[in-house]
Amino acid sequence: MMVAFSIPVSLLFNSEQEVLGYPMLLVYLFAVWMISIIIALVIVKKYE
Amino acid sequence: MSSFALFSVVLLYLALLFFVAYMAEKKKSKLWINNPYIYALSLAVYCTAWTYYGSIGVAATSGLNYLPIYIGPIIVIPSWIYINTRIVRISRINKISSLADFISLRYGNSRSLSAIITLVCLFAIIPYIGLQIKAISETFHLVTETPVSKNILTDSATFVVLLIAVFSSYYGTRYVDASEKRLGIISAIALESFLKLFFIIILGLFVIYFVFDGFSDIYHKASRFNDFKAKNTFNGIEGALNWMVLCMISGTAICLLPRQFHTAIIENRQEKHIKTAIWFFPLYLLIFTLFIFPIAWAGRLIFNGQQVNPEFYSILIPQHFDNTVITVLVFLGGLSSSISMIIISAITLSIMLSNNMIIPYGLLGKFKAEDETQNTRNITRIRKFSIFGLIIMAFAFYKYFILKTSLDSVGLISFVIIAQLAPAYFGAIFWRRGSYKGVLVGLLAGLVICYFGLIIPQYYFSYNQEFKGILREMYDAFSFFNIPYLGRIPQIFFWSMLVNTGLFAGISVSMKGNYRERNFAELYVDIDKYIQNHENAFIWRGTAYVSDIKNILERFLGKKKTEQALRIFNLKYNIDSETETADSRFIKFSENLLAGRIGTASAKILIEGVTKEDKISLKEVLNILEESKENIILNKKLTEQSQELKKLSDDLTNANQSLIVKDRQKDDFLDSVAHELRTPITAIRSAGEILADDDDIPLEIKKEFLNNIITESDRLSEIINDILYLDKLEHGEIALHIKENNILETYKKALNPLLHLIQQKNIHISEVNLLNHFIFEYDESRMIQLFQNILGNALKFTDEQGTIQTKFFSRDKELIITVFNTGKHIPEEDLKMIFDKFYQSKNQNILKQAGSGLGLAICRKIIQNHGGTIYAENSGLGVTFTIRLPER
Repeated sequence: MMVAFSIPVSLLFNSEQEVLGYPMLLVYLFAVWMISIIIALVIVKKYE
Repeated sequence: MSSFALFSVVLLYLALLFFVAYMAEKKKSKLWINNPYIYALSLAVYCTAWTYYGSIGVAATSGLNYLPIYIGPIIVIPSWIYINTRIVRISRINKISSLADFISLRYGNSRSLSAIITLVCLFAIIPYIGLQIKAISETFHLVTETPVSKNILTDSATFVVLLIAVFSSYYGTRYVDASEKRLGIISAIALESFLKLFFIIILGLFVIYFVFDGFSDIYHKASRFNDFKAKNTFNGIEGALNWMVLCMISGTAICLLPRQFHTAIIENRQEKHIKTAIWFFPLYLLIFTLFIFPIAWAGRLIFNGQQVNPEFYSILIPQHFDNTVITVLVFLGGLSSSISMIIISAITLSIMLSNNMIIPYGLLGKFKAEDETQNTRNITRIRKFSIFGLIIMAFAFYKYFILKTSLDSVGLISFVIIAQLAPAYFGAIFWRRGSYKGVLVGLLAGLVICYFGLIIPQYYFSYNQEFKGILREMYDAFSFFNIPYLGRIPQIFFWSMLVNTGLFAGISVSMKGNYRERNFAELYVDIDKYIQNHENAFIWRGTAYVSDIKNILERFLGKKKTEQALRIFNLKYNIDSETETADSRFIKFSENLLAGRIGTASAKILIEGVTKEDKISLKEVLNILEESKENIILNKKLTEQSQELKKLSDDLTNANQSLIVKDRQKDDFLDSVAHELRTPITAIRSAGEILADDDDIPLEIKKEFLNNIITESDRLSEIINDILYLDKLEHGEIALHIKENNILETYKKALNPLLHLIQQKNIHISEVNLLNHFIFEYDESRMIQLFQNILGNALKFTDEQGTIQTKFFSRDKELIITVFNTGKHIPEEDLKMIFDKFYQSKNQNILKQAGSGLGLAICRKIIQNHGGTIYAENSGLGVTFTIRLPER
């Protein structure tokens, strides 16, 4: 998480280009967010 | 909408919350207590009016900057599974009831530190509560379309605030023990968290699909704004740096805000609930923030060019379209987020205020003289008044200081002030050397920086245009430290944290800590080791009497509860209830009992009052801790060893028992052998005597006697042969020659020599073959012997004209052969024993027949050597012997 949200990595996506019609950075941030939730969920379920 | 109507709605809404809190408290059903989602939802007290209104304002005016407030927590939350689990454990065993307790206990249970932390929290949070009141008040006026009244008494928003104050002071002080879980309040908060999310989703859908034509429509139209692209990207590396620092601020805030500490740690019912929270809470935040973006841009589009406060887009948009229902729902959502924040903050602040400031600094002496009911009443009363007072103070703060400032900046300033506790907080659980002095100096230095860097500039300008006199000179002097590419708040955060952490670390390393600090440091850092018997980890030496301490306890807990607690303690440590002197475990136990009610620092002071502690040096403490650690390891080893020894002695006992059994068997066997050998010898001897004594015996009788001697001798040698054979079998001296053989042929070979006898007795013999294949692996000659023994046995007991039937079949990978013969039943109690050596039935007449008495014993041995079993049972008109032989 620290890496994915760190300045150098998130700046990579800091462009005005669009992905699927939406700003790239926004899509990136929310995607990381969503993936982190899924990873947490999977890990938690696995160790239950 | 009229003020009165909206006020009624608010009243109804609060009544609903009251009802939920009441029901949850009353029912205490599993659904409430064990529900991890209630815990996770209660964490969403993080989303205050700031999220509801402020973030939308930020999203509209400065784009992406609204995100760090949520991204920060997202980065931190996964670590909760480790960090918060430990903090929950520490708090549980030490009966910690607030953030101030948690930090000050670690640094030597210091009264002054806990008071300072309480003050920090008050300074940080009261403006924040004021902010919530501001949001409630302004949205109230916005919805009712009335102007804010200058007179507080006639302003209807005042009454809403009063209502909330009453609600929280009533429900927040139900238990005198502050470390107790407040089920009612938490359920109400969880419901509010759910509703505020639900309402913002309604608003979001309304804006996206009703006002506009879907999300892409908003996006498409909004992208025509000149600044649209800039707001959806970082503003270069500078913007990204600011963004990152903001993430760090909110990341520490999610752990350290008193209300978060309260919901996440104090109100945690089960450690495993944290597991649910670490995915559920980020999901909650994600949904929340997803809707902020379109609402903000929709607001920009609708009110383009008009002078409206973007923070209130969420109310203004439905109002603009005359949709009263959604307007009121959004208002209620905002109200929910404000109320939950106000309630939890006020409760936890009031606990800190009462347990860490008012009681230890003022009322402790008074409490010592009063009895339990009086004390309980006083403690709850203090908390009630402080909750009420705090909310009113926040209200006053809002009225005089923050009328004009934005939600966002006040919130962030609170975050930065609270973040000053971070070095002490995280140091507490990870670093043994962290010391009280380091914390104190670092914290104070950080606060001074915050004060001059944030608080003065923020509020000074409410009354002044620019810095004057000495203040101006001071700011000029420090202008060197200005970091041009960071905003004011990130900059102050950076400097204050740097100085704070630096001083904390530096002083802790260079000065020796107090022994008590070090004691708690071990307990905090090694919590997993001490969780079971934490009272043992507390080091105390001196003189103390149980009766004195009991006296104190009774004043706060009452007679009955004290007795109960003492009984539990004595049971746990196996202590005689007559013991007069108190040891360290009892001291820690009593402090814990008091801690929930009056705070850890006051508990320590009270107990200190009736005990006399000897000084221990830090070195001694470390030694004792080291020893106790070693003891724990040693103990573990000893337990393991004693378990091994026990197993060994069990084995020996078993071996001994089986030896005794074998010995008896051997005696029995010898008896039987002697008996069996004597019978034929007696017969031979008597025949021989007669022949020797009497010469006139007729030849025929002489012949008969001689024949008798021959048969008896045969029998004798048969017995001896069988004994030797069985002995060899048992000692494995006869090797099995296992080969593939045809079982039917083997059977025929065994049967042939007996056919003559069978015909003589006129017995009908038959075979039933249900086998698919006949080849099995076994030692053929042994098997022939087995069949002959079984068949011979059957022949003996079958009456004339009886039947013998042999059946072959296989089942579950086993070859099963049953031999049935008509005849007398074997008595049930003998069925198992017939395979023993020299088995003789109690009913001698029936079984006393020719034979060595070893035939069946030999059969059993043979089949056992093949890995099979043999048994007999009575069936129908006769007896069945079953042989089971595993197929290989």
